[in-house]
This record gives sequence, structure tokens and C-alpha cells, in this order.
Amino acid sequence: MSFPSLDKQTITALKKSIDATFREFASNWGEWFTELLSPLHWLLINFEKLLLVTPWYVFLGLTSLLIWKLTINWKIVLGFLSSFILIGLVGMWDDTMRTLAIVVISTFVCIVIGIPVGILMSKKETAKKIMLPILDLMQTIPSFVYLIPVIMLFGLGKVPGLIAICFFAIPPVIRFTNLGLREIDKDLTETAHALGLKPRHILLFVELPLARSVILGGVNQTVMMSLAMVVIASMIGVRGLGSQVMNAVGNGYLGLGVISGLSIVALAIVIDRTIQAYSNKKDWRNNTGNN
Amino acid sequence: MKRFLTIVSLLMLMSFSAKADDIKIAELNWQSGSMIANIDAYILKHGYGHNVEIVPGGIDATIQSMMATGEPNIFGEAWTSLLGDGAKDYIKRGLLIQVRDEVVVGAGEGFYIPDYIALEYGFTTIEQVLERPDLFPHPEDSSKGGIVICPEGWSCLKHNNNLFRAFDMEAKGWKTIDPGSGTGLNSAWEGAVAKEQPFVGYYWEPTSFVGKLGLVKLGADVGYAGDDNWTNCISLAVEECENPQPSAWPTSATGTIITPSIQLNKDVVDYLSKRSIDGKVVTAMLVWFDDNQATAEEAAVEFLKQYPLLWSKWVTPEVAEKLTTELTKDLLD
Repeated sequence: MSFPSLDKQTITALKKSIDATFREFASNWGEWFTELLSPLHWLLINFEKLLLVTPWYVFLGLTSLLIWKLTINWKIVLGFLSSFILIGLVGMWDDTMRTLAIVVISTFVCIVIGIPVGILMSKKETAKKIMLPILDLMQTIPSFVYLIPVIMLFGLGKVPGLIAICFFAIPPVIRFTNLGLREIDKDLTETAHALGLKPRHILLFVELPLARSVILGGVNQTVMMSLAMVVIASMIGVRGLGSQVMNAVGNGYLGLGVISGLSIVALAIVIDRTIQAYSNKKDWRNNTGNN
Repeated sequence: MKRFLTIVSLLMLMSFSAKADDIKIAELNWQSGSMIANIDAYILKHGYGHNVEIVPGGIDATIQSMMATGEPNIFGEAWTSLLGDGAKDYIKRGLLIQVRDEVVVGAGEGFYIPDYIALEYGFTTIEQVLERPDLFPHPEDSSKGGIVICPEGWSCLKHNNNLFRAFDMEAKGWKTIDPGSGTGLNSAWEGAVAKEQPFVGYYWEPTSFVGKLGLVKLGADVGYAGDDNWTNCISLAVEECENPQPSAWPTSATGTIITPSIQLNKDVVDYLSKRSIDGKVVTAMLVWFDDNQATAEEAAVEFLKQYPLLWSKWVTPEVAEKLTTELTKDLLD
């Protein structure tokens, strides 16, 4: 006894009207949206060019220095160096640089948008009520459902790739920011208020530093999810480790699949350990609010 | 206890009879391929009484699986020019059998432009389009022209890359755009046509896409540069093709390939060797397919309902009768 669904004509008409409405929208607004995001496009293309053009030793040297400064942990620096040297040896250097470029910019965009939204959610109940189902949707809807309209609007390339990545990766940073700020001991904020600090200063100098490790946990998760989305992004033409995986899948090359997959994993582990070590490095009591 | 035993023995009997006639048909991941696979499945199941299972797969995945494991058993719409050397070798040695060619009459791949561009600029060949990279700016480098090629992992990528070299596209100021997947390719075409933007890229016929969006296939001034160039250079990996000559795309050979185990079923082989559809009919069916947002199964049934004169030529009269009864049953459902 199957479910009494609407008749086929109605369902088909419904599907076609969604198609037609979106086509209208794309034809009227497509150019405008593309123009709007063109600075992002410029940033994506040129950051990738920068990473590709940098000689490998300069990249390894500078990044090792950065990781050291952030973590003061020689084991992580060593892990980074050894995994990237291996990546270079198997010929995945350029693709890793491309993937790193889009992941870095995407994470940056996610943080810039995500943390303020998280702050808003933590302060206003209505914001939380509206955002929670939206976040649920963003994390569970299958990526192709929003990829198709994004490509129709923007065409192929890095900008739809970034949108695809951010759509899936931004919820953790929003959720964790909301959580971290709500979990702060209310006594501390009351004290700050009693001492005469304005709400903006309370946020910047008391609440955010206290919530720092939780927010960094959210950033960490966002980076991990961006890397996970790299293969989906390559399905709309973003080059990098993801397109190597697609190549392997399409042609049945197990070896290539393993190598490119492990390169993504290496990238993820290095970034994850770095952010964790950075977040644990300074005790929150000693944090004076400047990094 | 007695009832229990009866049920168990019935189940065992059922499972044994199910094992008898298992035919696996590859349901290919493009519209005409999946529709033909479902037509085959319907006819073999309801007409000939075989136990049919439909198995998903793309060109490469299917042929590799057939070579390695002997399953699936039937590759209905195989674009034979896109099969690798390994597959061609197997066919030569009789480890795989091609029962017919021209499954779809008039199939072909090539470079297409939207009809509004063809109208405005009068382009009819790829060489003419290549003269104007400024009209088709690459999204990531507007100083170059962008041509959308076959996605990564598809067999047509080799042809696209070699033709790119053969026509000297890089020197003429062009770069390729990789759409990433079939979805990327389709969405990019749709978006460009919805926005009436210039677009040049790969596609193939018969597809409803080409009909719906009004895509025009480009020929080549140089014409088809011969089988030797195509088979021994253009169809190979870029490293193996030293001197690709510019060429138009050949009309694609579509064949049906089966595994030796199916040869024992003479009726199946007989049906498959007779089965062939004109490209225009396929395109019309595919437009129906799209307009009704149908599944491949529904499109297959619709084809059988609309074209009884066509398919009755492929089967024996008794089977044709069985199928007609089955189809009228469907109508009354």
C-alpha cells in the first residue's frame, strides 16, 4: 500500500517550475552576483599563483617558522616538513599548493562571516532560533543540490568552489562561537559591566578571550570540513588534490587515489595539530587579549 | 512445524530458481545509455522471461568490470571509439563479443556553441571560433579564451586534450576549462545559455540537452583527418600521441558488447544483434525524458509504448505479443 502522493503531473509541474524560476533568476541576476564576488575571485586566483610560484624551500622555510611561532612544538614542525617533503617527492606539490590556497581563503572567509554570526546568535535568542535550522540544513543537504544553482549563477571556477566549501564548512565555527560565548561564567561579564566597561569592550576584551579555545575548536573543525569538501569542489572544476582524486576514481587508478587522498590527510593533520597546539599554548587566565 | 518446513522449502526453491537466469545489464550514466539499458531489461524480462538485474556504471567502470569479472553481461550503448586498448584487445581475442554496431544511428561528440552565438557570428567550424578568443574569455584569465572540455575521469578527456594540441589552441590564446564532472558540465552550459553568454565546449548527441538548449555542433575546416590519426594518436593519452593532426570528430560508433557467458542465450544475442534506433528518435525520447522529469525506466516504457513498429522488428512475433500484453497492463495500472 504505497503512500497517496500527489499525481505525477503536479509533481512534475512543481519540479519544472523550480527549474524555470531559477533559470529566470540566473539570467537576471547572474552577472550581478559574479561582479559582487569578483574581489574574492581575484584573491583566490592570485593567492594560488603566489603559492605556486614560491620556490618549495622558501615555502617550507617560512611555513615552518610560522608553525614554530604558533606552537613552540618541534614535533609538529618536523611532522609538517616530513609530510610535505613526501608530498613533493610523489609529485603532488602543485596540487597541494592549489588545494592549500583555496582552503586557506575559504577558511578565512568562513571565519570572517562565521564569528560575527556566532556572536549574534549568542546574544539574541531570536537569532539563535532562526540560525539553528539554517545551520542544520547547511550541514546535511547534499552538496550537489546547491552546487547546481551555484554553477548556473557563477559559472565554473574557484568562486563557486569557495561557496560550496564555505556552505558546508561554516556551521562549526558559528556553532562553536555561539557555544563558547554562552558558556562563559556570567559572574565575569557582570564584574566587567560593574567596572564600567561598555558592551563592545566587554565582548572584545573579556568574552572573546575567555571563549577563545572553544572558538578555535570551531575554526579547527571548519578547516577539516573545508578539506573534506575539496573533492566535491573539484566536481565543479576546482583543480588541486580533489581533481586528482576524481581522476583516480574515473579511471580506476587506486595508487593515485591513495596518494592524493593521503596528501589531503597530511594537510589536515598538520593544520589540525597546529591550531590545537596554538589554542592550548597560552593559558586563558594569562591572555591579555593581544595575539 | 509442517508449515515452517513448507515455507523454508518454498523459499529455497525460489532462491534456486532465481539463480538460473541472471543477466546483469549495465545502466550507463548518460541518458540515452540508461534508457537503452532499461529497454533491454524490459524486453529481456517481460518478453523472454530472463531474470534481469540493472547495474550502474560509466563507460570505463563498466568495461573494466566486464574484462576483470565477466559482469555486467550486457553493455548496451558502448561508444566503441572511447574504449581503451585493453577492451579492444579483449574483443579481438573473443573474450568480449561485440554483437552489433550502430546501436544509435548518427551519434557523435564534438565542440558545440549556443545557437545565439552561431546566429550572431556565423561560426560553423572550430577554426573560426578559435580565431576569436576575445569572445569567450576564460573565467580565471580574461586575456585568454576558455574552452570547456570533457570532465576529469571521462574517456573523452584524451581526445579533447589531443585536439587542443592538434589545433594549436594554446598558441592561438586559449586555455581549457575543466568542468569537474558531468553535473559541472551541464550546469555550466545551462547557466551560460540562461544568461545568453558566449560559451564553447564539449558535448555529444543524442542528448535532450542539445535539443533543449539549442546547441550547434561545430565542424572543422580540415575535415576528418583519417582513422590512423584518430585511433593511433588522438584517442591515446597525451604522452603517447606525439604528433596529433587537427581533425573533425568522427561519427561515433556505438556498439553492444556482451560477455561470452551470455552467448549461450541465443535469443538474447539474436535480439541484441537486431536492436538499433535512429538518433532522431533517441533525441525525441530524451526530450520527453527531460520534459517529464522521468526515470530511465519510465522513458524505456514510454519508448516501447510509442514505437511498437520499431521494436517489433527486433523480437520474434511471440515475444512481441507478450510485450504488447505487458505494456497494455501497464496502461491500465
